[in-house]
Amino acid sequence: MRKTRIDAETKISFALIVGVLTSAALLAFGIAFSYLGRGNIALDGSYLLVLGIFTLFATPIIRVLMSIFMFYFEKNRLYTLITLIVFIDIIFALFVVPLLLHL
Amino acid sequence: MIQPLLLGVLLIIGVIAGFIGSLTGLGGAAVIMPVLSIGLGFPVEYAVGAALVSTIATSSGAASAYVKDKITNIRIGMSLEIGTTLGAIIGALLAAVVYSHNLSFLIFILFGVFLLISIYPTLRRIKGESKSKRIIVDKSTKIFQLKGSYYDVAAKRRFSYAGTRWWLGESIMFVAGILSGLLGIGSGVLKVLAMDSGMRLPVKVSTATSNFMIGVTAVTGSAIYWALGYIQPLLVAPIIIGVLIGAYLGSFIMEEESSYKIGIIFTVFILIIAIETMLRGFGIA
Repeated sequence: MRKTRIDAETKISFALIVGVLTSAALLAFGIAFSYLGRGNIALDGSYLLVLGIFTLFATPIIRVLMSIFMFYFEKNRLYTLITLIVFIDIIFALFVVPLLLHL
Repeated sequence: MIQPLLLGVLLIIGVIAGFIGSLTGLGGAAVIMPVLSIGLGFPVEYAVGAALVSTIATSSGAASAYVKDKITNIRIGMSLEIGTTLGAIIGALLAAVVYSHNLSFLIFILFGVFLLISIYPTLRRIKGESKSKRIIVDKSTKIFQLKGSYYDVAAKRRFSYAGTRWWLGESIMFVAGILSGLLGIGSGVLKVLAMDSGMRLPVKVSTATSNFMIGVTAVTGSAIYWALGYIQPLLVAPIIIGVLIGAYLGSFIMEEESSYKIGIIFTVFILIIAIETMLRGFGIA
């Protein structure tokens, strides 16, 4: 059981690093395109910027998602449920609250 | 269209914020929000939005290191996240109410007060923990599986610990979540306090777990901020990049124990920002 734990936590670490670097790259290109592509529709930086921000948003969400699986495979029912609740909270904030706000 | 000079300034602000944030656990948002709103004159909603999003960057950047070291207690962090995420939703909605009713001076005052209160606990944390805690357990330890252990590289041995008073921790986390959503901060200070003093967890575990949790809290608030339009991509982008660079640089210094110097610089810095923020809140300056 200890070996599974080590792998899961290293995987989460790795996912975080990948997510953060991807986000940074998207944002950097987004800035470059926004500045250099002024008026040129083909070089639209704002799309990349938004993508970069969403990727950054994804890093904690993936953290939670991976933890659900980690607890599930550890057969930890309580924490699979708890982490699922946290995930639902985040989804609520992402999709339900904006809908409610725009009523 | 945003000028390259401004982009450069935002980048540098991000680097400083990320650097201080990774060293002290307080600072990412503490630097960004006042500098952007008071210093650069951006509308306060955008400043808070940028600060909150930068907090995600600091958290994910730091957590990538701590989680691998297995000091972070993901179980405890997740169980406490129920409180912080709920709090963040409420805090963000409160922020929406505040800004739409032109009450943003309240944000400044609250922000300044929070900074002032945070100085002492953060200084204590920088100095580190001198004695290890006796292991005490209670009902919540068993129910929520709050036992754990970690290997301390400096002390070269494994420490076991047990968390207690989960309900107290969760309640403080709820408040931390509200503050995070309302002020655009990470509330790392409160989180560490909740785990360290409230739940009797080791400082290192509390700090690592707090770093892990902050991003989750921040993204919950950010989701609502995004829907409200408080997050301006071109404003936020250079700050995020800067914060990541700053946090990366800061991780090198973490290893050495120049606590005293860091403590002094930090205190002066935060004091200045706290006073400026409160003055702005009260309509002066």
